[in-house]
Amino acid sequence: MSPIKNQQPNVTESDVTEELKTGKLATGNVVTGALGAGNVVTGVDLWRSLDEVANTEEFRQFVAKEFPTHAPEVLEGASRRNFLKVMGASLALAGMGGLTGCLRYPREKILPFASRPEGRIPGVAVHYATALEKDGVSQALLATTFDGRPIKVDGNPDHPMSLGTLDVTGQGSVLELYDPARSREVVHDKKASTWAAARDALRRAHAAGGMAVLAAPSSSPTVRRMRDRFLKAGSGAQWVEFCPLSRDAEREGTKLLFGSPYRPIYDFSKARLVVTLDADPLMTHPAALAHSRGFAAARVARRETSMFQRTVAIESRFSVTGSVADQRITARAGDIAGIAARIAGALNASLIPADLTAAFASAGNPTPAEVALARDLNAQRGGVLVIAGDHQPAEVHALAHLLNVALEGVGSTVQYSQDIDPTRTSHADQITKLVGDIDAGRVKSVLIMGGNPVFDAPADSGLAGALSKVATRFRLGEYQDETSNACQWHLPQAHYLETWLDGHSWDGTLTLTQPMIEALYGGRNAAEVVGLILDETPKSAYDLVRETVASSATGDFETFWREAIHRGFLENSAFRADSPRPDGGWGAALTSRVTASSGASDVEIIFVGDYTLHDGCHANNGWLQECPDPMTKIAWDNAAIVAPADAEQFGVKKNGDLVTVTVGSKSVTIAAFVLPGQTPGTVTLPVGYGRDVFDRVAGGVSYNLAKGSGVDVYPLRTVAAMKNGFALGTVKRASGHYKLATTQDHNAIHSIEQVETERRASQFARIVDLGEYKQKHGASVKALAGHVPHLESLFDEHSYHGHKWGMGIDLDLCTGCSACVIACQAENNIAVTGKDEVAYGREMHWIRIDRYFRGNNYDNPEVIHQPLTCHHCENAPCEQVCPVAATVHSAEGLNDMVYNRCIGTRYCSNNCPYKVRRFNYFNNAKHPSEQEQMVYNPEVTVRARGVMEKCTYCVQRINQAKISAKNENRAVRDGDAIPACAQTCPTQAITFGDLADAHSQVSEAHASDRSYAMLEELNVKPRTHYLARVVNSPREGS
Amino acid sequence: MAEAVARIGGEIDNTQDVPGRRENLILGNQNDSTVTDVVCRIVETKPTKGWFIALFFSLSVLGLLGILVPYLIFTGIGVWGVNNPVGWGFAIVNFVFWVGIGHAGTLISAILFLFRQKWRTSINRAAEAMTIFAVMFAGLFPGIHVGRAWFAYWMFPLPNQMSMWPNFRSPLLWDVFAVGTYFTVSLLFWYMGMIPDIATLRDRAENKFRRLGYGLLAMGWTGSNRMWHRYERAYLLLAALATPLVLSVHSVVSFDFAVSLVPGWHTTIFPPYFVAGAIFSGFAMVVTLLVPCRAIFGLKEIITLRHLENMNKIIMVTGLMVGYAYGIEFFIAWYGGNAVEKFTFQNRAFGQYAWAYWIMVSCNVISPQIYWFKKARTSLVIMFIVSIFVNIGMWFERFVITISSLANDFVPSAWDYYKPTFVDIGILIGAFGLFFTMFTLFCRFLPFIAISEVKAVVADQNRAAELALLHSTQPGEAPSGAEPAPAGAGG
Repeated sequence: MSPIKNQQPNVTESDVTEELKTGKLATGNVVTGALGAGNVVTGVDLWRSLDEVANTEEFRQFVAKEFPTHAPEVLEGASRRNFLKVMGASLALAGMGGLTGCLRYPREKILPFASRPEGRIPGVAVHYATALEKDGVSQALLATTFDGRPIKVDGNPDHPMSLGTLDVTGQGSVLELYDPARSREVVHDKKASTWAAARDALRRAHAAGGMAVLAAPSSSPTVRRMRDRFLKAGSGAQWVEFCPLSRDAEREGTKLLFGSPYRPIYDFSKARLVVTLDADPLMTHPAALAHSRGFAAARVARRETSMFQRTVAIESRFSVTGSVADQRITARAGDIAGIAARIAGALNASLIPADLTAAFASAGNPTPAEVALARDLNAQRGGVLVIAGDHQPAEVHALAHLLNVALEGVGSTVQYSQDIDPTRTSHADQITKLVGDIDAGRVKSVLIMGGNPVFDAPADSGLAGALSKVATRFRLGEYQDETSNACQWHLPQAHYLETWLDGHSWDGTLTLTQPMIEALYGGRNAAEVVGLILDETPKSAYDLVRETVASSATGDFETFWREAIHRGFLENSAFRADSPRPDGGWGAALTSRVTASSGASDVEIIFVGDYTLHDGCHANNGWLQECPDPMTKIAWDNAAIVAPADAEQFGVKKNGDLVTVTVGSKSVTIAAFVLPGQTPGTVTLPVGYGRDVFDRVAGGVSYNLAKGSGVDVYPLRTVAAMKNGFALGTVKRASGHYKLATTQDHNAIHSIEQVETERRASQFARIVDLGEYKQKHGASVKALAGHVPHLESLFDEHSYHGHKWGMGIDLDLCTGCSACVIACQAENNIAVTGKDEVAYGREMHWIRIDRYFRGNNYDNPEVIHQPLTCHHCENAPCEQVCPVAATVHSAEGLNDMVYNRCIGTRYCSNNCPYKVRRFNYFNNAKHPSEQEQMVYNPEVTVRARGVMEKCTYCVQRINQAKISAKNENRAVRDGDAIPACAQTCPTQAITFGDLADAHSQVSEAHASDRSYAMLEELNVKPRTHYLARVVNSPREGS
Repeated sequence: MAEAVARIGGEIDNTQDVPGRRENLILGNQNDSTVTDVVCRIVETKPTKGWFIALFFSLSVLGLLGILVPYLIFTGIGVWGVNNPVGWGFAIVNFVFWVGIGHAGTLISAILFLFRQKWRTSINRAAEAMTIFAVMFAGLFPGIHVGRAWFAYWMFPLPNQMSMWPNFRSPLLWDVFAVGTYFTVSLLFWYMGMIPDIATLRDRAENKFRRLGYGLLAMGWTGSNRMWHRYERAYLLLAALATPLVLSVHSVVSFDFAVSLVPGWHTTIFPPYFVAGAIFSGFAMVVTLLVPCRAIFGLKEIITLRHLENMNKIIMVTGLMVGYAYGIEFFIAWYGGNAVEKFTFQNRAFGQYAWAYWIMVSCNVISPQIYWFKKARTSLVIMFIVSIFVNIGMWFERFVITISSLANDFVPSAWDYYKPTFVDIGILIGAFGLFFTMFTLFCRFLPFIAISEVKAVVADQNRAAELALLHSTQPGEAPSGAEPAPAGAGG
């Protein structure tokens, strides 16, 4: 049980379950069923009186008389107007209309607060387990709801793949629930329609035969069950899955090696030598959270024991994993097959199939670094983990897994489990086949569920063109997006917080999605929509999921079910470990990979999923758009990431200079960004930008956040590029410049600012060598400090009787993943300011992650990430200079910001040496729509224009912990009060607690010999300490 | 007198410093009545077309301020270019600039009064008016620069229901007191010094509006001996009170910077450096204003080349002081061994704001060096140009201090570049509009020269001339020095 769960005793999930189940049923079918679909005015099944249902002239006049300013909106229905207002109006109308027994939700059990459900206290947060599914993998969550509104999601602490942490996109996903731009109604030929009409059309299309479903991949047994029924029921029915950032190369690789696809499940905590081949397992992998936790455990172990541990990244782009690796070797993506082959050739491992030896030989002689790595791999047998990345071809994956098997990693660092869908072909092949079938006239109708294939399918697959040849096209999506525009029917898809679903997490654990709120716009999920087609009386998602779970239930089902949804997953449901035998037969393919790379003079164009927007599905998410990329620090845009050496060659003088990237006959003009550490000869293009389809405008405000954000690079991505991971192309300087909004590094390379930055970074974000640290301990860290004179304070210092809150941030564990940034934004109602404001330097994030390069090798520098929040200084310089005493010290050592006392002199910000204060230059929270307001955390003030704000150490959580402790008549325990950043941190790099308690985690962190205060010489006495990073880079010649 | 009168550019050269001879400060055989006539004529004759044009132009520029300030307050200070590291932008630069301008007036009227510098009498009134207006606008900027201007009054220690005092540790609060005190004393000093002259205007008034207006302002001045006695005492006391304020106000303003820990701000040299800079810029502004005014209002005989040259000498001396301060800042940055501070100064000269730094150095240190040459000190064209340069340079000095220090302080990842917006620039220009509007109105409606004080100088001069004449005609007769000095003589 997590500490947060502890605060909410006796809450059972069945309360919501019942409400939502019945609500779902009611809104879905009963209204339309009872009154006849034809009579209902709009797609939203809300109605105010029988007059309205009949839409009589009297009713129109009545509305016009009573609500002159709102009449058109009221008549047009909830689709145009924010629904809460309409609900208010509807209640008023019902009363005035003199109709008795007017039911908005027939047979609905509305929340009966008159008889309060057990454990529900208005205004007190309740936490429920749920899950989201991303690219066919479930992520377990713990959602926080206030009075029925989910406001934040965190990781499920009990789930093995989360352990209470959550990544950046997961943290941001809750905002999309309340996105005013989400689709709100069934649309047919650009006109509002109803679910009933859509169902009729779907059933007609299905009955006519030749129906194809193109769905986003799902591991949900319920969806898969519906799929099987769908395929059986219809003649010529087919079911195609596609996602642009698919992990098919890994599937294909294991298929090459083992004969059938396997899912590798890694255990980083046992990995003494991790070698990544263009992989980013700590950031973009579906199990990144578990990897991060294991990575952190290994880091701790190597510091505290004599264990050897090292991470080696061999990569083309500069990935987040590469940034925390001990050794990073840059290589073009096409050369990585050769490097891996040479390393494999230098090993003395058994189990290597004979035909591969020739392939290894074709790669040539290994370099000294490769020999050294091979030696280390040999030495660390049983603790070796080799991971190939998404943008590497299948052969490299096969080779990586061969090494894992040959070096005895199976059962220790890696577990292979049978793929749940072993017979399916790759996503790229599936979409190609679908287009072929369409062209051949075998597809009469298509239902596209989830994803956004018109936007993100490979350019040469021809999907967009082929679709128009299909007679009837349905689309189930959360937004009316590119794909919806290519279809006649659009059906609103339920957000994951609005619906029931199940799914396998990466390790196979069956994880349950539980709705937190009634679907705001009547959306449904994929399983339900298939059910609409197949079943005479369609079942709700709740019933469908229950049926699925029932098949694996033991004992009394109700008890089993309640326990399962309480926990959020089914215990012991992880995939079984298998021991597949490696096989040869792909040596020739590997040889061609190895030899194909050499001599390629073109530039490698590497397509990667964006760290925040993923494949583009989060494009209208303000939090994620504004979250700076962990490596480039660009917000709101993508850019062609080029190496410093290439920049000169391309004619890129400064960041933002436009370049034209050409692959085959297609070209795209995009701003260039020079990133030290990018491999020369490669250009990284993050996908998912350049979407401008969110055309909802309400109240004069456009909710199209993605407008003008970045450039769509999917047109360059071919089927071949998707399979190989990269394409060869050319890059030329185009005329013009584009303003990129970065939150860091406004200085040019080689400027005096740049030189000084490097000097200071070595003091601020300290890195020591592991060998040196083990010899000299704290002295090695202290040696990096600047000059600290004798310090004396001008004022009397504070004394404390109770708690003394403090924080420790372990730079050895921070990967820069930015989950804390968004967790903080969600927790603390932090405003999104927009690209222009970010470019001005006015982003509002309370925690920012500084990224410093180290070393004078611009082609392959070291990187360190340093999260910075308010340090809650003991001698806070901000407190001293505020003329109106709006920022003051609390009795527990917090540096409190009193918003309503602040007049906005900004003196505190000027005097803050860490520059962590954020000022509201405009009214950032001006007139949020009803939906946008719903995401606000009621525990935290929404700040007005003209006041300063900053990190509070999540004071609301501290107080909540104190209240809970008091209610339980006990002292606050270590770990009761956890700020949002520390809670979500995948590596648990942030510790927080009471410094007055000598045994608290944070006291131990502060007492660590790696602990230091940043800018100690200023005598501000920060309460946040950093713990130096300890790297284990190989010495020259070792 | 047959002696040929030396001239510079058509004007009588009274700038010679010949031992044994004292050059006349007021030229053209003036007496009490001519001085009164010359000064009162400005107020009493119909304003010229030129004056209307000047007023119209000033009002137009002021209109810019009138539009932009409400826009700023209604929209938020995000309309400025200020950002996260650079929390203070043009508003604070303007504030310090205008407070600095405000220094010359009080220095001329109070400190030079205590040092018995007679030449101050011709220029002190205009300089003090300039001070009052400058400090008024200086007060405007802190008010509008805060995020919630409607709560700016919370900076005052007013009793309130929260029993909440302002934070007395904050230099911004000290500013409130320092600038408030300075403004109050300067206003009193200016107004009190003007009472006898307003009474003169009242007595000469030809219509009842003037009589009523000036009558009210003159507060019943009759010119009795007892009044003169009280007046003299009060003037002396106020001068003594104002003198330390001249030094304190800009010292306190400098504390806004010096007390903080921002590298480039946190230096002990700031108080004297700011005061020297303030006098420097204040005198430059006086020269900028008086060179055209003396021509327009026919005051060349009262504000002579000698007055202007004296001011130019002060500009040169304070310019050297400022230049020395620039140099010593660099020396200490190196000698002090504080790496952060060292970088800050390197960055000033060679970093992203180097352009501003070199504008500052060129205008403040290099351009006044021309005053080593007397020709330059007495050339109206050169002194006007140099005074404009110094104004520009001193504005940039504040820009460099405020902005370049903030833009690159401690943590490099937070560094950014501040760019002003049109609102920043519009308000900067608009403030000049307000200043010139007030000054134009002042020229028309109040005595531009301290009549009574100039009369004392004239009387001294005339008596000295009589005595000289007496000596030359009746050798051996002792000069009679028993005549009492006329009232109001400033020495």
